[in-house]
Amino acid sequence: MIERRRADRRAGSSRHPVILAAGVFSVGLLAVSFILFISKPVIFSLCVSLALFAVLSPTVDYFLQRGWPTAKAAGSVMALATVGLILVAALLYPLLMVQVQQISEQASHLDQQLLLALTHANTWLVAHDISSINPQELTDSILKQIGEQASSIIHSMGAFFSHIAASLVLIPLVTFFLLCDFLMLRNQAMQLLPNRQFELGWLIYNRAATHLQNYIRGVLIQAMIMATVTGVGFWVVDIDYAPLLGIMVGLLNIIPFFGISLAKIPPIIVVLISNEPSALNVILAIAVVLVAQAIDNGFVIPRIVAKAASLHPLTVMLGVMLGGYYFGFFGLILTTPVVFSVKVIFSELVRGLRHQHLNVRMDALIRQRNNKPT
Amino acid sequence: MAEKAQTNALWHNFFKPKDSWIEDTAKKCEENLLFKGFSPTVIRWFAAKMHPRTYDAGEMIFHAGDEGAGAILLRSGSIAIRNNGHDLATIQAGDMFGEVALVDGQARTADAVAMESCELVFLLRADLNDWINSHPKHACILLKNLGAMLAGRLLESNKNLSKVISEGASK
Repeated sequence: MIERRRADRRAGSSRHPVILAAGVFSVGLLAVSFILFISKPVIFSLCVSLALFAVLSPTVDYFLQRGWPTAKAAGSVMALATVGLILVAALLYPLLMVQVQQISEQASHLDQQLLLALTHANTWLVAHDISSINPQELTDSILKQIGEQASSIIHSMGAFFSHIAASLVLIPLVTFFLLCDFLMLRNQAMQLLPNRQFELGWLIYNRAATHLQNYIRGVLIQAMIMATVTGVGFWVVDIDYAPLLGIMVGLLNIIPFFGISLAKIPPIIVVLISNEPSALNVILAIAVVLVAQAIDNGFVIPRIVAKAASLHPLTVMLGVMLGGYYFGFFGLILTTPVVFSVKVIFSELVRGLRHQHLNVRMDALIRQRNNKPT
Repeated sequence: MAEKAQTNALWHNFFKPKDSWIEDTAKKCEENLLFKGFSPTVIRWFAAKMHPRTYDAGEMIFHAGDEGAGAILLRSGSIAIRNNGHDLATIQAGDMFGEVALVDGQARTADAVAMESCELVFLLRADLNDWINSHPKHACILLKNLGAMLAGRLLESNKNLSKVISEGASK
């Protein structure tokens, strides 16, 4: 027992591996929190740059491995991405702006349209002796709830996009330098690891990075699929502003669990503020989102997202709620990748340190056996 | 002199890797079976992707059963390969060992201990896999070389085993 403790101390691991892993992990978490606190003014730009880096780095690697210099490869990929973004924006912007303007004009008549629809519903209910409702009261109540929800969402999204606007210079610069020098900076950071934890550190890093990259790519593909499916669906059932609604559903779907529920609100509002609001159109709008949700749950999530984010639904739900509460829209999107990265790092750390702990004990036994007089 | 001072300035070298170990590693890789058939340019590219480390005498490099992150090339010093406290082989400068870890998810098969102060470089599986995915044609040559290295190790183990069995029988 004493020999085992001595051997453990010589190897620098006198504690149980789980306690040691928790200690190492807590120190790492404190260091990360400190860095985040210091870099708070630019944290948004850094996060967006990291996401762009994750998306663009495979293309840069492709050029690097074909012998291009780093700056040329990174610069070319950045230029291609920027031109692509400008082209998409130039094509979509006029269409979207016209649609947004029309929606805002029609939204001013939302109360009248809703009152009309509810009056029709009340007439139908009374005529069939089912029940009766007070259209005016119900309209006021619905408008109040929609107003509260919409103002909070608009405020969060407004802050999100104002961050993007404010970081328009910083994001491309940081992304460019990450694409050029990330590997060198990462390798230098990993060189700080002690010899004993060098391989373990790389194994943990590679697993966490692979999971994170797969997740980001998976979520972006998921958003594009959802935007396409719902956009086409709204167009087929003849709901106004189908492209705009499709993009909104795609973006909202990035928020785990709650995104798809929020995504049902915009098409319903668009139907209600249209010239001829009808219950059938509301049902069709919801049906399109539900069909897209079924495709998402049955095809997209199991094949693209689930493998990357193997978390318990309750963990994701609580994480997203807390992330949204403390960090707003930004927190809603980032909580899941952060939570599963933390999970991967901690579980790999425990596994690796447990193995090292067993090895230290085995060494002590071998030494004990070799020292025994024969 | 002025030129030397300029290249030694902090702002010139802070983010630049020190190249001396890369050149030395590339030279040693050229003589290694794993890189047989590759041009010096490709070998230098590989060398630049490796990760240098130094170990003191008696320091454990890895344990049997540890999950390995990659193969290791010894630049200087010597390393003992042990199993249950018994020396199996000695690795000299220029030799590569731990290449079993280049095969996905394979654990280390023996302990490696530095016998003297050592300089070594790690060729990580993740870096190698990235290269294999992007260069499938060249990857065939590298995987063939890796197969030859592993077959050589197996042959060596079989010879040692036969020797031990015959010694045991003669006793």
